[in-house]
Amino acid sequence: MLGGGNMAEINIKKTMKHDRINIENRKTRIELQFKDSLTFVTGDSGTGKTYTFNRLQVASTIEKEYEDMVFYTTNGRVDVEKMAKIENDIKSNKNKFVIIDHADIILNKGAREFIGKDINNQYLIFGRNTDDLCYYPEQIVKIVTMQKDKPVIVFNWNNE
Amino acid sequence: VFIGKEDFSMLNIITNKNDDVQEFNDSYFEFYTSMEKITEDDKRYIKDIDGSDFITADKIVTKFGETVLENISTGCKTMLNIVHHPEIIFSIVECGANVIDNIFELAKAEQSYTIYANRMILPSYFFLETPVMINGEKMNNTEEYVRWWEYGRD
Repeated sequence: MLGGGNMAEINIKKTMKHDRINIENRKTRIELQFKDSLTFVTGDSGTGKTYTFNRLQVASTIEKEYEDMVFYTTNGRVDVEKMAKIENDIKSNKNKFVIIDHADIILNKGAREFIGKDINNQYLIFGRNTDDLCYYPEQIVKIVTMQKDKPVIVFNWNNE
Repeated sequence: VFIGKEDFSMLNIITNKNDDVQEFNDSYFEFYTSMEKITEDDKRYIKDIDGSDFITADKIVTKFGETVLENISTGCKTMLNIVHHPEIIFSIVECGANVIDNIFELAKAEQSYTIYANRMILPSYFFLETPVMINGEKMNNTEEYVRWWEYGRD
């Protein structure tokens, strides 16, 4: 289900920090192509969402081109207070590539509404519930692994 | 209509999150479930959901390479949490369709348990073969169940 907000409120001049991400280690390659400033990744369990999140987090610590990435995930118990803190923290980002795992647990309604309309940051979100976040089907994608010389994780924009 | 199954198997769904709901499936798995014996059924869930082979707890062969039991998917951890601790109400909000199928199959296998869901869940064949209660209200068939999620929610 999509956000349900007023699409007229969405400014199409959004920030795109990265239109592609390519990272590789000894075991896998990750080749992600982005079409919107908000990409919501969903799909079956075990397809590599958290794996990709963790790999991006590692890449951001070592690759200068990814130093604009900021990461949010469950880290200990997430209660109402902590969700509010995450919401405020997300709202303080400027020109960042914000990457969120376990979005169904850590994002409250305020954070969702902000992200859905934010034009100053790019978002990559892993979760299931797109309420207040996604306004276009094109923002929602599944992640798949192709077996080549090594496993390659890509977005399946056809959502097949 | 679910004839004769009500006495021994039931999937109870609650939609109001309370303090009894365990939503941190990763943490629960690491602290409790992963410390327990991994059964042949558990290995089948790991294979079916993640496509991974359990060799030992320190050697899980995934499509991305080898890892440890603590790094299986959140959906798979949720499934194993439910299997090992049916007395706990686990949140399934982070579970993909491949886990949902297994949750319904488990309920069919003569076991009753309660889960927390914030959206309609259905097996991938879009048909309920398991008696289901939502917030204590018994659903008599698939149509009634779907209608509840569409119109019956507060």
